[in-house]
Amino acid sequence: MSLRHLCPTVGVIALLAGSVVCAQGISATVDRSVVAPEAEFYLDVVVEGAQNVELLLPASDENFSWRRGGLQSHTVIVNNQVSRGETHTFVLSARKLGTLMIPPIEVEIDGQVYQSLPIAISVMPTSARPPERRSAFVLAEVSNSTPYVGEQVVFTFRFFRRPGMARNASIESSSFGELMAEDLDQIRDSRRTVQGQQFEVSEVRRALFATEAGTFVIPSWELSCQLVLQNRESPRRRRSFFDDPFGRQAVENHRLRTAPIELDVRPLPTPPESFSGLVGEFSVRSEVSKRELEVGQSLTQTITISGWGNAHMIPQLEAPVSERDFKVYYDQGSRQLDRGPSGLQGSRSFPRALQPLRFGALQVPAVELVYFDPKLGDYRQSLAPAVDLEVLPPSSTEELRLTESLAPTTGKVAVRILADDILPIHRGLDAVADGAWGSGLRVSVLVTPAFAFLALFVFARRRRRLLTDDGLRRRSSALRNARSRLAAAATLSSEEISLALRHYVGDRTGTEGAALTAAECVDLIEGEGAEPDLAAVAGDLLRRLEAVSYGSGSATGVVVEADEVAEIVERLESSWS
Amino acid sequence: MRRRPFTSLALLRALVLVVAANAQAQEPGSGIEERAVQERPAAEILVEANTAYEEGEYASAVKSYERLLSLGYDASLLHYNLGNALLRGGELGRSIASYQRARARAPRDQDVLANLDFARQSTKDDLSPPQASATVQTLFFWHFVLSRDEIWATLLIGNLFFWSLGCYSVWRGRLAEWTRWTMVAAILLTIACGGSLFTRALAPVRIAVVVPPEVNVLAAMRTDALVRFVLHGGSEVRIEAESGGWLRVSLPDGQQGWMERRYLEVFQL
Repeated sequence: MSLRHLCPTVGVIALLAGSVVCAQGISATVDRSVVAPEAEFYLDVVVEGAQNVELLLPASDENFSWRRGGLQSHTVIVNNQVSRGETHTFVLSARKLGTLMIPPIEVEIDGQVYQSLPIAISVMPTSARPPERRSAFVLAEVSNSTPYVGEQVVFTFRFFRRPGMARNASIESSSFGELMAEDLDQIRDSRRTVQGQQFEVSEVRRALFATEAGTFVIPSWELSCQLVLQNRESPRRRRSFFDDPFGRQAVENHRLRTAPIELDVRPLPTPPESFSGLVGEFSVRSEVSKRELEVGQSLTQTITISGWGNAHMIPQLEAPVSERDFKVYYDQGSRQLDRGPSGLQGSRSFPRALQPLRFGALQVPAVELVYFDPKLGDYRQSLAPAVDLEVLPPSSTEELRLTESLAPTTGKVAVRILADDILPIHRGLDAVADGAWGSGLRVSVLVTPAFAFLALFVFARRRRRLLTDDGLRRRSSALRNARSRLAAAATLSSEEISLALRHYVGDRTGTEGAALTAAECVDLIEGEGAEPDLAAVAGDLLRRLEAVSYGSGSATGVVVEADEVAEIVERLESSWS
Repeated sequence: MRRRPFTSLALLRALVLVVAANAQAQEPGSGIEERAVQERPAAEILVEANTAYEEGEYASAVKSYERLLSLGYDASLLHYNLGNALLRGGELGRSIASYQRARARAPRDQDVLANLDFARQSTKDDLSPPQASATVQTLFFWHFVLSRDEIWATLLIGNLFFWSLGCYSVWRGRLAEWTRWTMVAAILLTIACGGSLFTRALAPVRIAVVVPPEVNVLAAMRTDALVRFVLHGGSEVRIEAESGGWLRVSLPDGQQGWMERRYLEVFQL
């Protein structure tokens, strides 16, 4: 038996072995054990006795690329016994040729670890046809496998397929390892004839740059697509959802890979001091807006660096001019990059305004650019020659002013805050000035109006009562009236003195005093609460005054002093207060 | 029955104002009439402090400004200058506290606000400073926009206006329509200002600023407790409670923890 027939046989035995449950709880099967390098196949891992478990998959697998395909749970009831489980589906594709092993898969159920058997897969091309005889293949190449550091390398990835034989293609893996990459252009489609066969070609390009010397590997680029099978190449394959429902065409998922590409990056020779960092083919030019002007006027010098290579890294160019001759105003430059199929190229402009400070023959210095030319293998210099200017004296006595716009297209520039700091301290003596009002004064000002209002309120109410209440008014004025009546005692007759006392008693008690007799006065005085002795004295006084008034008093020598009456009034007032 | 619609309310209002005034009198640092006897004029100490600041002797300037504060001077400008000296001296936390005290005394001072904002930009933690919600600040704008002295002045004016109109009404014997509404406005103004002073004196918002460059905020009042989070110098937190030299602080998102008081500079808004 030749090796060619032995391998499939070994694969079948491995397949059968893999489908037997090796340990309680988990088993793994594949839909086919002989596969092509680009073809995908299915691995079903069945877990019995548990659901929602996590499979312990290998951390890394250099033989296969893994992709999850789905999860199905199942519950089976047989003879009143319930058994549960689930099926994890993975989609694998082989990374290399030969007999490769799918490692065991572990699962932990109720604290016990179960393990499936490893499965052997034979990976061999379906036929010995060269790639261009297949229905689809991918190729990757670089423009230079031994570049210098910083030199542009154009990487081209091409996807070839027979017309109508491939669908749903997408690049799954596209990295460049440690190399810097810049997009070059969009995907370009074309048709090519290879070995008499016509192919549709899609092309993707990138510009790669190595930042240091050494050996770098561009990893394989992987493209997944669906290929229309010819002549039922794999009859035992699992039926795909994308198959023609009418059974006329079968579609198979394929994962096409390019071979890795190795780059041997060479270091740059020792650079000169003025090396700009550019690697490729570059040039510099300098243009001025005018060569004849007056002092005070200005001209615009535009320095432009352009070329092919690492044009995205064109640096700011130092082109000093004499401070004695010119005043320089820098403007915002511009950058342009062209990402064509041949590589990255571009330019960068640095405009600036130069204002001559003196008249005479001045010169705008030459501008030098030092770059590395990979084709030459050495540094080169590009020189923009110096420009001679004729600066005339100012024609008017006006002050120097900038007459040429710095940036006619960009307009004004926003003010940029350069720094910030706290505001200074206050040096005045206000910080220790005495406050106008202390808390005591504030409280006083706060409550004083309230007390003033209360006092005014009480006064106004009493005044209103005096105006409306006769009795109150009479009582309030009784003492005052009695005093005023008795004040002119020397001129009063006994009758007037008696009347003054009776008016006082009447005012205090709210009666008409003039009509009161002595006895009635005594009753009223006692009724108002005065002491009986005091009332008796007042009554006696009134009787004596009556005796004097009606004549009997003077004959018997009865004399009543007005002061005595006034004293009685005061005593009565004190008694009633 | 006699009607006394005005007297009772006026008496009650007077009583409330007296209580508020008494509360104001108890507020620390509110008066200058109790200033201690000092050995040098305050102006001399201030000039000395300002000169030290201008010459870059920030520690000496801080010492002089604090001497003035201990003597009872409490002006916003003094706290502002102290804040500048502390910030120049590298004491971010204490400078923010000084600026906050200056702002409490002069809420609209643009210099204070600018320097406070500058100091806050130097803080490490992305924390918004504790403050009332925008709604509260809008509804009670006078409490946040006016200084304590301004609110006092407004209160006295409103109070004087109210009682003057009352006296006028009593004297005239009647309460005209315009007088009534003006008195209502004066009452509202007085109550609003009185409420603001009452809140400041009896229920102030206590804020603390972290002083050290970095400090742990713990889950309990123990130095070996679990570290809940870390705060850096200048971060402002709200004080929720205090107990035996420990402060419970809270962040704007509600996280809380305990810190020793010696790591914080406390002030009230």
